[in-house]
Amino acid sequence: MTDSPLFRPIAARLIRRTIVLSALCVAVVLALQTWVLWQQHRQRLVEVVETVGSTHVPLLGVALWDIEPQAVQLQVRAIASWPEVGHVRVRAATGQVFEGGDVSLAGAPHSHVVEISAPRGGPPVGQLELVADPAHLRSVVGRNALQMLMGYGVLVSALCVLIAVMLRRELQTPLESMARFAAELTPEQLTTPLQIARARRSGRVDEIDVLADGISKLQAGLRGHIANLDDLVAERTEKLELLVEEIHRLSMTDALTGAYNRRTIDDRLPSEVERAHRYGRELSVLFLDLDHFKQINDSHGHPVGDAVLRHMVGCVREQLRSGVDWMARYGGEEFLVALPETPLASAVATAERLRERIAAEVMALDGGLSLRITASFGVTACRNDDDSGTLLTRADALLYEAKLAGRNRVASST
Amino acid sequence: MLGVWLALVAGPLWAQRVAFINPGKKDEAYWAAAAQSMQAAARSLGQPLEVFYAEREHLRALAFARELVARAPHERPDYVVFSNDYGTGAELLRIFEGSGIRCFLAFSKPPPDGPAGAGRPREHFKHWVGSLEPKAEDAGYLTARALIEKGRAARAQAPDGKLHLLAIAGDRSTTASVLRNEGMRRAVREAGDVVLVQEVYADWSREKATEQATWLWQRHPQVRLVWAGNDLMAFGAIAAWEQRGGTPGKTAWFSGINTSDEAMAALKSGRLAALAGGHFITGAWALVMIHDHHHGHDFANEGLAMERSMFTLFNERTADVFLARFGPRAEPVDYRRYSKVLNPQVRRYEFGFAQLLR
Repeated sequence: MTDSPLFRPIAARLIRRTIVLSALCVAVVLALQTWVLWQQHRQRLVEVVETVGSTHVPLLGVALWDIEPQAVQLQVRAIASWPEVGHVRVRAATGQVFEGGDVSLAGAPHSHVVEISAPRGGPPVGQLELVADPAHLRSVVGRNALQMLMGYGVLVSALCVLIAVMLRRELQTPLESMARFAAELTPEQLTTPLQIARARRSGRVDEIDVLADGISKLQAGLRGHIANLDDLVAERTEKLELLVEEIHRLSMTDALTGAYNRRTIDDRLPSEVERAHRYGRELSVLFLDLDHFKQINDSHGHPVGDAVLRHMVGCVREQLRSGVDWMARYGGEEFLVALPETPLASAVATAERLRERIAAEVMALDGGLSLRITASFGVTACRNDDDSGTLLTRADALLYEAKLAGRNRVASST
Repeated sequence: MLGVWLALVAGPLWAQRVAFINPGKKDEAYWAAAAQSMQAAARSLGQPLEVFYAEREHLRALAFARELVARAPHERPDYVVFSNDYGTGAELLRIFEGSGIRCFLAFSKPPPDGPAGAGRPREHFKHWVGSLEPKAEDAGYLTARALIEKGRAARAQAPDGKLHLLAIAGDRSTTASVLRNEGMRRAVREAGDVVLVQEVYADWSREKATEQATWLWQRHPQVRLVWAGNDLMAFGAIAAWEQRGGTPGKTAWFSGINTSDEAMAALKSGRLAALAGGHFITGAWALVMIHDHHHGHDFANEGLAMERSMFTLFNERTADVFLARFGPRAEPVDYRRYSKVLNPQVRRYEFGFAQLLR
């Protein structure tokens, strides 16, 4: 605000306008007063003429009648000494002329003419001509204007000082501190309350207080808004994470059975093999294939086949160690089960247990039918020279052995 | 030396020293004539006379009085003659009180009788022996009457059949002026066929009278008679008339008061229709009275404050006589003839001026 070159305090504008307004007022009042004075002056001149008529004119009449030129001249001078009178001329009926006052006004049209009658009646002995003194009117108006200008000057100066002081104290200082506060406001400071040093007031509220209150409300609103944004972001992030997790899970899982899919085997088995190699741990895998699954499909339909697959996966999962062992659909009705930290013997035992569990299960089908299934197993343990490919090939070969050997059995080898 | 001479010559019984405080100026016709006639009378009566001119400054008159009082007693005059011009009479009487100098008021009316004035002679102020004034009203009356007669003779009446008369008076306050005006008005009243058109006051001034007469003729063109309170104002009016193209004595007539050479010449030439004067002789008559008083012949039986006719109306003949008697080559008048002491057959003072012109 202050660094802008166009900055101009309100006080300066207010003072300038006050002065302009005062000047206009002075001009208007002066014009009115001049008019009033002019009227008064004219009225006064009429009064002077009346006064002269009642005081000097009878004496002039006597002096003219008695032919006392000195006395006439004295009266003329006395009349001319009235400040309102500019020029006096007495014309005697016998032709003599007496003049007094400002001779330069002698040519002006005489505004007032008074007949001078003789003391004992008879025709007038002369004529009194009075010319008003414009200089007197000017001086009266001038004096008045000066007085008024001085009065107004003092008043306006006092007002301007008052405006400057009050605006500085009541407006400029608080507004500047508020502007500074607003300019320096950062999100971290939103909780800092606005504090303005102000003169003590009698518990009433003014515009500055309203503005300060507005700023406080703005601060509170911003604060609330920012807090709300944080919550929203956390929520959305959580949802996204869940979504990503689900997508991940879906990408690893076989849609039909809920076991891992073939891609997961490609992703996960090499790292299981590598860990077993690196730490010298045991790792066993077993291949599982449902016996005569094609026949089930052919005779009972694919939905039954799918249900058989899902049922079988559920049975196998029950027997596995949760979080350590895992199971994936290798393709068709063939499944891989990885058994980390498991020597071959334990793996064979697990396979036996799985074979027995599957063979013991009787599946109820629609139409009162029931179905019994069996599975064949190829079990092997990871050797030092194995990679995931060789491991799987061997396990698959063992499964093939078990199939050849009559199904529903376990073939194993190191 | 002078004191010794005065003591020898002016012995207490047969001669008395007199001082005259002249209110006027040395070159003023009237007051010069007054002083000259007094000198003549003093010589004639054997009185040493000192004359002081106040030059129309009344404070100077008072200064002269204090000067006389401050003198050593044997150097003080026995009598002092002064006038009440400018109202100085009462103050002068107070100054001379207790100095042993006797006071005589001449020429003008004495201060009024009353608490503010000076009382009457020999009452409050014991040293105030008396006063003598010319009967000023006479001057106005005589000149106005003569003027009116001239007008009638010349048939100067206006269309209304009346003689129109203007009066140019001296001033409003001096007693002599007021009385002259009254005399003029009495003559107008008595005449019956005369209209006093207007009275103005020209302050005894020739110039002001000229100006006023100019105005007056514009205001009252039918006027043919102009009465003036003295000779100078008459001359002023004449000048105005001549400026209008008139001829004084032929188309308009003027009257004046005084005995100046110019006035006498104007009377003889006809420019002035009427002229009265002679009151300057008052001082000389006062010396005669003082002479008699000093020699034990008091005038108290004729009155202490006397107002007497002194004015005379001049004509061509008396003007010549006047010039002979009182002019530059005047033969001295013998004032001893009028003294009661020196002329036991005189029972009453005759102060008329005409007798001096016989």
